[in-house]
Amino acid sequence: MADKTLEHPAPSATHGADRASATHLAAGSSAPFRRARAGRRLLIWGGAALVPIVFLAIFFGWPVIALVGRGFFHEGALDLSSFSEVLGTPRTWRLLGITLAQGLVGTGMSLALGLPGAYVLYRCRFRGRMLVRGLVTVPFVLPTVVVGVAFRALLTSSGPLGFLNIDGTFIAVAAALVFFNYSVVVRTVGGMWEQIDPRAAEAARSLGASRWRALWTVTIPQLMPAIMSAAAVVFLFCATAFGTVMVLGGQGYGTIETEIWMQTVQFLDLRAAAVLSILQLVVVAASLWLSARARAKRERALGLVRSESSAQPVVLRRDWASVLVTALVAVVLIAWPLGNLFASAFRRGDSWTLANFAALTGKGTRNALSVSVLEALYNSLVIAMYAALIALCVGGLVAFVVSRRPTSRTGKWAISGLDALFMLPLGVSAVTVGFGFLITLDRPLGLNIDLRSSGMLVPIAQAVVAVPLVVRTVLPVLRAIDPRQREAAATLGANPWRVGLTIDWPIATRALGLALGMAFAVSLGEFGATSFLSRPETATLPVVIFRLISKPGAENYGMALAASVILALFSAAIMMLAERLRTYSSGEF
Amino acid sequence: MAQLSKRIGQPDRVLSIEDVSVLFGTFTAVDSVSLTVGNGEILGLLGPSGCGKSTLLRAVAGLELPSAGRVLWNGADLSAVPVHKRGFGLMFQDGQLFVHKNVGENVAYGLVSQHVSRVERRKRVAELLELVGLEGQGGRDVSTMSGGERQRVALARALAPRPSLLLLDEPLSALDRELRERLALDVRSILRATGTTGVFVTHDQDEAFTVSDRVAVMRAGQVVQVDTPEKLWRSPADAGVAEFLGYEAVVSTDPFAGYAPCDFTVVDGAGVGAGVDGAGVGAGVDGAGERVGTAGTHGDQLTGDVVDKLFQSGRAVARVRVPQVGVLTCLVPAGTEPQVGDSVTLCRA
Repeated sequence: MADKTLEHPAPSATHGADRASATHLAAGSSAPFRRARAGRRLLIWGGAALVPIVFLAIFFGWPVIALVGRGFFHEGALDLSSFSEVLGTPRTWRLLGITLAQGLVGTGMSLALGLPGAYVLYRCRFRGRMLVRGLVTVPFVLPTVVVGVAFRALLTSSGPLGFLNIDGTFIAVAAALVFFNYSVVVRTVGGMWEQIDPRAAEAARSLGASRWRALWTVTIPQLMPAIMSAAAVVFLFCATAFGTVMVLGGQGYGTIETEIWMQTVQFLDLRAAAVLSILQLVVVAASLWLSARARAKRERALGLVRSESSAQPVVLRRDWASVLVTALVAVVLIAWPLGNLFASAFRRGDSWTLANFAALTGKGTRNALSVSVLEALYNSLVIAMYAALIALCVGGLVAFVVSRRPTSRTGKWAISGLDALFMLPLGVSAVTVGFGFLITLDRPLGLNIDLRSSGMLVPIAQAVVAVPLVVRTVLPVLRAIDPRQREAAATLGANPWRVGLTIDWPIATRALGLALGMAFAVSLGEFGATSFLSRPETATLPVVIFRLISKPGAENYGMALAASVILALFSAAIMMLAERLRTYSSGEF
Repeated sequence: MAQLSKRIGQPDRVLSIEDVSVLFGTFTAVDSVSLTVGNGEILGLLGPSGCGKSTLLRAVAGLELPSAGRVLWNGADLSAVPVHKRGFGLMFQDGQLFVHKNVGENVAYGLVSQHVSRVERRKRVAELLELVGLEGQGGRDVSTMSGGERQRVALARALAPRPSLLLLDEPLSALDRELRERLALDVRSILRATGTTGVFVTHDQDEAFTVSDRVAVMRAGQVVQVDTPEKLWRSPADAGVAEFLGYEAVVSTDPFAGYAPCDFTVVDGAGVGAGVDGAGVGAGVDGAGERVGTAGTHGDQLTGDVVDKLFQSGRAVARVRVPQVGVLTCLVPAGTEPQVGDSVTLCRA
C-alpha cells in the first residue's frame, strides 16, 4: 500500500495537482516505512536467493555432510575408530605430504613463471601479442585428462623426452600442473596489471625509485589482491588435481584426492574414503582461510584505467629477462606438449596415419569400452549442455543477489555469506562431490527415486562444480555497474524490475553468455565427479579417454591420443566462442 | 516576468524538509536540517565537501532514508514513497548516462516509465535536445560525447519526465571553468523556462550565486544560513560563512563587518600619481559605510605594507598586510606601481 500513494505523473500540465491530492494519504514518521521497505526487500532478495540455496543444500551441502558423517558415525553411534585407522597408517601421511608438496611446488612455479608472463603479455605491446596470449590460454581450457595425456605422450618411454625417465614421477605431475595453471596466473594477474594506472609507478620513479624499487614498493603491492587470489586458486587446483594425476601418476604415486577414489572404487572402503575426504576438506579450508586473510589485508581501492592506455612497447634492453622466460614457457612448456600430442595422434608405430581417428567409431581392443568414443562424445555434449544451463541459472541468480550493496549490517553480512557459500564447491574437490552424491542421492530427501539411475546426476554434479565459475564471471561485471546508474534510473521513475531489466540485464547478458560457454567447456572436460557417477553406457569423453590410456595396447593408446585431440578441439572452440563475448564487453565498458 | 506569470497558473510545488537527520553508522551526515523550497524557486545548497549537502539531496530523492525527520511535498509526507514514485529528477555530478543506450534512448528513459506513447516520446526527446542545445543528436553514442555534452544530455534526461522538482548534485563540478560558467547560466535559464523547482548542490559559491534564487550554506551537517545571494554576500551569519565565501578578514561579527578581496583600492604610496590618488579617495568615500561599521582603523581608509603583487582575472592586485586586520587583496589602478615593501594607503573601492 505504501508505494501506491504516489502514482506516476501523467505528462500533462496538471500532474502536480494529481500528486498533491494523492500525497495527502501518506503521513507518519519514517520508522515503520523503513521496516516495511526492509521487509519487502527481504522477500524479493530472499526469494531470489532461495532457489540457489536450496540447490546447493541438496546437491552439495547434504552429500558433503553425509560424507563427513560417515567418517564420524558408524551404525548410528559416534565412532572415531576409522580416523585412528586411517591416520595411523604412514601411507596417509605420505599421501598428505605429496598433496601439499604438489600444491606448493605447483603454485610456486606457476607464480614464478606467470608473473613475468603477465607483465610481457598484458603490460607490453608487441606484434603477435594476442597470438601468444591465446596460446598460453589454451592449457587452461584443456580438460585435465587431456593435459595428462599430452604430458604422457611427451614423457612416455617412446616419447621425445622418454630418455629423462620421469614418466609417472612427481616432476612429471608438477610440470603438467604448471602447464595448466600458468595461464591462471597470467590471466588473473595480467588482467589486473593492464588496468592499473601506470602513473602511480611513474610517480615513484620521479621520486627517485629505481625500476625494481618501483616494482616492489608500488606495482607488486597494487597487484597483491590478484596475486593472492591467483595463488589460492592455483594451490587448490594443484592440491586437488585429479584427472592429471590419475593419467600421469605412476604406480604408487597418489594424493589424497586419488586415494579417495582408490578407496571407494578399488577397495570399496567407504569409511576410509570419508576420513580422507574430511582430511581434504581441512587442507582446503585452511588454504582458503589463509588466502582470504591475506587478501582482506591488502584489498584497497585502485586507480584503474582503460587497458589500452597502460601497455607500452616492449624494450628488449629493459625487459629481456621477462621476455626470455615467457618465450621459453610458451615454446617448451606449452607449445611442445600440445604439438606433440597432435602429432602423436596421427602416428602409429613409425608412420603417419589416420587409423587412431578411424578407430574412434569402435570400442577399443579387447572391448576396453562399453560405448564407442563417438557415442561418448555425444554423451559429453548433451550432459555438458544440461550442466551449463543448470549452472547458469543457479550461478546467475547468485551473482545477481550478491551484486547488491545493502546498507544494513545484516544485509552486508548476508551478502558476503552467500558469496562465500557459493565458492565452497570450488574448494571441495570434485571427487568429494561425486563420492557424496554416490552415498546420498539413491533416495534424495527420503523420496523413492534413485537419482543415480536417472541420468541427471552427472549434469547436476558438473553444474555444482561449474557454479562458482559462473558466479565469478558474472559477478564482477554486475558489481562494476555504478550503483548510481540504478539510482539514476530510479529517479527517472523506473521501478526495481525495470531497473534490473534495463540497467543490469543489458550489461550482464554478455557475461552470462561467457559464463555459459565456460560452464559448458568445464563440464565437457569434468572428470573427478563424473568418474564416480557416470555409468558405462553413458560414459563421457574424459572417462573414456582415461579408460583407454589405462588399458594396455598400442591401439587403445592411439585412440586415447586421438580422442584427446578431439576433446581438446571441442573445448578450445567453445572457449574461443565464449571469449569473443568477453573481449567485446570489456572493450565497451 | 513572462516566466513568473507562467508559473502562477500552476499548483503549488513546495518542498519542505523538516528536521531531517541522516546517520551513517555513528556518523551524522545531516544533522536535523529544516528547509523550504518554494514554487519554481531554485535553492542552492552550498558547502565544503563532506558537509552533508549531497546526502541531504539524496534523502530528498529517496536514495537515503532519513533516520529522523520528514521530507514533505506540498505538505504530504514522502517517507513511504520509493524513489521511482516521487517524480523528482536527479542529475549526478558525472551524469551517469547509460552507456549501452544512445543519447535519444537516454533522454527517453524516464518517459518509458510514464508510458508515454512512442510518437509523443520522440517529440519530447527532440524538444529537450533542442532545449539543451543538442538538436538532432539523439542517435549519437554517449561515449563519443565531451564532458559538457554529456551533462547537457543528463540535464535533458532528468527534465524529460517533467519532474516537479529537479535535484542537481554538483552537475557542473567535473567541467572546465569556462564551460562551467556558461552551463551554469544555461541551467538557470532552462530551469526558469520550464518552471522547474530546483535544489542545486555545489561547493562553488560563484556557481551557487549564479544559479540560485536563495542559497543555504551547510557546514558539518547543519544549515548555518539561508539567504538570497546578495544578502548572503553582504552579511554572512558568522566568520565561518564569511571565510567560506572568500572573505579575507572579519572585523566584527555582530553586526557583521568584514573585508572581501578587492574591497579596497591602493590609493597612496610610492609611484602613485596625484590624479589617481584623488579619484580613488572620492570613489572610496562614495561606496563606504554599509559594510564596515567600525574598525580599529581610519574608517574607510587603511594603511599597510605591500607583501606581493599579482595579476588575477585580468586585473593587477596587491596583497597588503594591514596591522590588526590581516593580509588583504587590493586593486591596483592602472598607472599605480606600488613595490613590495612599500607602505600604502587603501581606500574602499
